[in-house]
Amino acid sequence: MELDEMKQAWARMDLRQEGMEALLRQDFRDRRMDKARSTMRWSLLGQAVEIACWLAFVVFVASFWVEHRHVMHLLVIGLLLHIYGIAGIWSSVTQLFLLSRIYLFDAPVLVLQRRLAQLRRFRMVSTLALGLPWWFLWLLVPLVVLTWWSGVDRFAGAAGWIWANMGVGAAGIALSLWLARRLAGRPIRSPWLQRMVDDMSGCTLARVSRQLDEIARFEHG
Amino acid sequence: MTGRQHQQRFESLLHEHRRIVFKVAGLYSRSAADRDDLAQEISAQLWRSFGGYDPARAKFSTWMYRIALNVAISQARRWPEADRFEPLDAHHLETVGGGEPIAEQDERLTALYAFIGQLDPLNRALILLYLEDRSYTEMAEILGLSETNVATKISRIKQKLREQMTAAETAGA
Repeated sequence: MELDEMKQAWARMDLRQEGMEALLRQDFRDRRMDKARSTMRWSLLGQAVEIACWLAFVVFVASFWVEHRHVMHLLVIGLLLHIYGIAGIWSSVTQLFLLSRIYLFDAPVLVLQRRLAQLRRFRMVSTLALGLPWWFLWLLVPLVVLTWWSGVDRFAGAAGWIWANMGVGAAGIALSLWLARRLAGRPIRSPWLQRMVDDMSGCTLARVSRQLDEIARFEHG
Repeated sequence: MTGRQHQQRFESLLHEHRRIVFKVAGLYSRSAADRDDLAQEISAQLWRSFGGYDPARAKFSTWMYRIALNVAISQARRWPEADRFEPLDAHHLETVGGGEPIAEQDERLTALYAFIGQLDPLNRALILLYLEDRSYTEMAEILGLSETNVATKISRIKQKLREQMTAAETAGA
């Protein structure tokens, strides 16, 4: 049998569409379509709010290290947080840019699928790069805020304790990555946890790479 | 154009080209519930994007195919990989028909679905467009390939199908 014969069979196929048609009309009657539009607007607005938060964070830490530039450890911590904040701005702006390229979903299939895979890959890498440092930041950020608020160097009297926590943080990062690798491939009930495990174990990256390879093969093969 | 007129125009165009939504949803779903969800997701995305539709840049059907296929392929990629390429079966013949069983299943359609079931999402899109009798120019515009590339791929798919049919006939003899 040839594909052309199948084409004829396909064309003759009975289409009983009433059920699906009613479903689509129902969507409009229930105003679900308007909801879908507003959800997308909220997601773009959320991204804009995220950028504003990162900007506020950078302004705050910049004012902190400028004020304490004569105290070496406060200057170094302030500068590290400043770099972290700039990375956050860069990540949010890039995600907003990548989102804007897929927003309408009306690009040719290969173009859009490639952009989606690139967005997924960027999101995964930036979430890890900005998330894992919180094993250290959970302590550093509150201490910076306390120092700024009270005017007293909260780091000075607790250097040993802070270093010990930094060590725990480094071990925590290693443990998280090890655990993610151990859990990879196992079914996890929580979708949020599943995504986190996939991201940290490298499964997401491998999946996105396979998608990009598949697109390239289809395009050039 | 007021919001109400805008919506009416969209609904009218959606109604005119509704087969595109049904066919795409049918080919990329794993169950009847999946198919309905996908059809709703496609129509929601069409509505979201409708404000940006420019008739000077593309025919409505081309624009609609792009969105429908992009939504369907993206959704298929979210499934666990083991579930993604399940062979299409009788259920899919029903789903493309809109949920009601087709009284007399055409053997050729059954064979066609078995064949489509082996294809990855991108080749599935290509064969759908071919079966829908789209021109190579339109297929190229929808997929983002050159016309030559589309022709080459269709020819390969035909060859692959021919080989499979020959093998099946040999095995059946």
